[in-house]
Amino acid sequence: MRALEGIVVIDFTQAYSGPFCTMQLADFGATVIKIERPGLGDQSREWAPFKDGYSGYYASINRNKKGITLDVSKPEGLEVAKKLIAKADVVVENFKVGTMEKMGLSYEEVKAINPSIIYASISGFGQDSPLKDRPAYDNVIQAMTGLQEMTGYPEDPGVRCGPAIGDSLTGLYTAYAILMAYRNKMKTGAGERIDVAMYDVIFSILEPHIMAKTLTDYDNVRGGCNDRETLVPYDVYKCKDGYFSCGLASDNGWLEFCQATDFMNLYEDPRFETNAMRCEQYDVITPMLAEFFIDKTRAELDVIFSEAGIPNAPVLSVPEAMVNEQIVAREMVVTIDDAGVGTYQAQGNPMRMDGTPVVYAHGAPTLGQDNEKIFGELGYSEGELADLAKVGAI
Amino acid sequence: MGPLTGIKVVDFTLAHAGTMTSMLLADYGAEVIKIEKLKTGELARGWAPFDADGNSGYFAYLNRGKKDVCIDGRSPEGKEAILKLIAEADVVTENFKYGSMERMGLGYDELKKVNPKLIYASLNGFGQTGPRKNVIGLDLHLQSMAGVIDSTGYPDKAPTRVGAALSDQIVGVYMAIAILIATIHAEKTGEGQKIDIGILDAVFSMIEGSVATYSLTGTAPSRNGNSYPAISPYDTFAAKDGRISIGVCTDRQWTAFCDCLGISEYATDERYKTNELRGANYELGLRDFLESKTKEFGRYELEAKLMEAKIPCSVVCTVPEAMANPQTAARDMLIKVMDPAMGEIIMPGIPIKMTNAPGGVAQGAPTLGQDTEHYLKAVGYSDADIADMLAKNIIQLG
Repeated sequence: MRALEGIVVIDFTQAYSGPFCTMQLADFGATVIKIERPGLGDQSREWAPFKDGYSGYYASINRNKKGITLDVSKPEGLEVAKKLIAKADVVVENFKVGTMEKMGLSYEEVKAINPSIIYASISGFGQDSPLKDRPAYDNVIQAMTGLQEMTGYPEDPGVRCGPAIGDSLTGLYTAYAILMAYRNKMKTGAGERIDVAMYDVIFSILEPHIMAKTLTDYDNVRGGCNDRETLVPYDVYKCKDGYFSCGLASDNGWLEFCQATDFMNLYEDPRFETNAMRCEQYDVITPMLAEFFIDKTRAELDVIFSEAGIPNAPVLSVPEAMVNEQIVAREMVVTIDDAGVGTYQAQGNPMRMDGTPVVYAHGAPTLGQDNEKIFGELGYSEGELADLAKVGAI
Repeated sequence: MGPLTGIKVVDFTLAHAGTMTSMLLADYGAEVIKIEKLKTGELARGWAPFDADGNSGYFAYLNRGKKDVCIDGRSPEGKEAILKLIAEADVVTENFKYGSMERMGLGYDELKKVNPKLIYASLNGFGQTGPRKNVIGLDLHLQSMAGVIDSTGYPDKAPTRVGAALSDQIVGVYMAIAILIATIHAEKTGEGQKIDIGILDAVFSMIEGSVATYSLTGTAPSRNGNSYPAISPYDTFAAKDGRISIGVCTDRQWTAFCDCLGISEYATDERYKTNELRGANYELGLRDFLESKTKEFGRYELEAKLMEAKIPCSVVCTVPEAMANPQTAARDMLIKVMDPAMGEIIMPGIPIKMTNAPGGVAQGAPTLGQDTEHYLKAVGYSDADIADMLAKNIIQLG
């Protein structure tokens, strides 16, 4: 039995944050019924890459879901949505704040239909806050929370984290919230109203910098790849075929590091005796250490540091990561047969559970692919469905 | 009352990633019993920032709301006590180096004998399988291998890591989700299970559509600084007194954006009419031209103008500026917590807002061994037993 089998999720989400959230639920057996606008569908259906006119972006975050089309701005469509919600456990949405209310699907209205519903909203700034109406993209959130200012090298302007972490991490938090609420519902029968904001999630991950400020009134600054205030060596070094990350996990290991790199002169140098001293001498010691890396390949360095028991890793591009033997061994690149883009590869689900493993049952739905089945289950006859189609509700 | 009330966790996690998971459980009402070694406690008690008395703020944040039992699991008596605690628990969490729990006689197969319904969650850098399972992976290394560093930074400069412990944060949430999935399964079937989470896997899953893109088109993601090739302009621009991030996704937004910058004639310029054209011409002059215009405004002045036109944007803020943003207070994202060692301190709040069972932070991080006596008594040890274990240096009381 799948762990989340039997949980029915009515999924109004689009773009990245919401679909990434509901994919976690679908991966473990929840029935996720994705609702899309007739004709257009989720906006990410227009996002690159494309194959045969279908979006690989959409495919990679909507696997394992059912797809129906429904125009809830039409009274007929709204009625269908309410019938679906009446039999569901969870409603998820990531519209602009106020949109669900405008459509007649506010929490209060939905609760009136289904008192134990779990109703989760994802937004940039939350459902009730000074900035609730402000539009938010990932780059806005990274800029506003301070993450961008903390990322990059001190001599250059701060830079954004490449992947849209503001969306994906908020989606993950929301998946966690939904499961907590579902467990609570199993125990008490009570529903829940969940409100997760990108701003709050990304602000919270800045915790070391926040604690430094609140406890010691110290303003941390961005340091590129190093952590020069805590640990030296702990950095990314340029090497023969790219970049290589290497460093100690704690104050220990300096002797082993110097042995492995044949830097016994540095080990004996009184300026570099302790981690605290090396932190102070970061600018002096770093160019010396860098010499060791510059003429060696990542593969050579991997052997040297792994044998010495010093934490290390090559800096990999995405294509390199996809064929890295650890990633491959962990089945983190999965091949999925998608009704739209065909066979393609995407990241697997990282939650490895021996009792209730992830199942990649099928790819993302084509637009309205499950209309007949799901509306049929609600009791609509073929004639009624034809009528709904005629008014553009499905 | 939190939504996880009633879940009991025996928590062997330390440092960041695993403790993030048990913090997420504790925040929402789970009873998290942290097991620590004698004298020094876990690693993070030694991590900056410190208060004037040398207490770690890092530890205080990640361990808020937890109970603490200080016990030497290597001694037979200590191990026996730990097994008694586990017999009554729902979940065990650990993030030691691969194989450590087995060496201590606390592997899944052994604990399953003590508690067949147990959910056993392991987390480490590379997971419990694969050629790298024995290697220690820290945040820097996992950002390196997952492709995050390679895709972060300016195209003509060295790549950079993300300036937060991204790997630990991501994987902490994943493991909490996995535990919840297992808990729901256990409620329905009475079955426990083993969970194996690798931080590398978790971070790799968060690099957005780049794997699908490479697989379908053979195009590897490039490092783009603050821009984003699929949408233009989506970037950070210099203002007179700082910087501002802006995202213009639609042609309607483009028109409004041009109006704000006082360059309305560009809205209909053939070279920039569509997102595709703007993208094609972005690095060929459009970016520099737009920045020459944004530089004429103060950053907050331009932000106000763009906000009025409903264009997504934000001044680029430092962390202290974000802390002072009224939004942060309105969402309770800085909370006061009474820490037993440090007194009242301020830390990040709880990002998930729930109405009926909201969770919360009832108390700060535990002092070393503060709950040892309570939990030993709860599993049947007498005052004399406890005194005996104390004399033998098997336990430490708070």
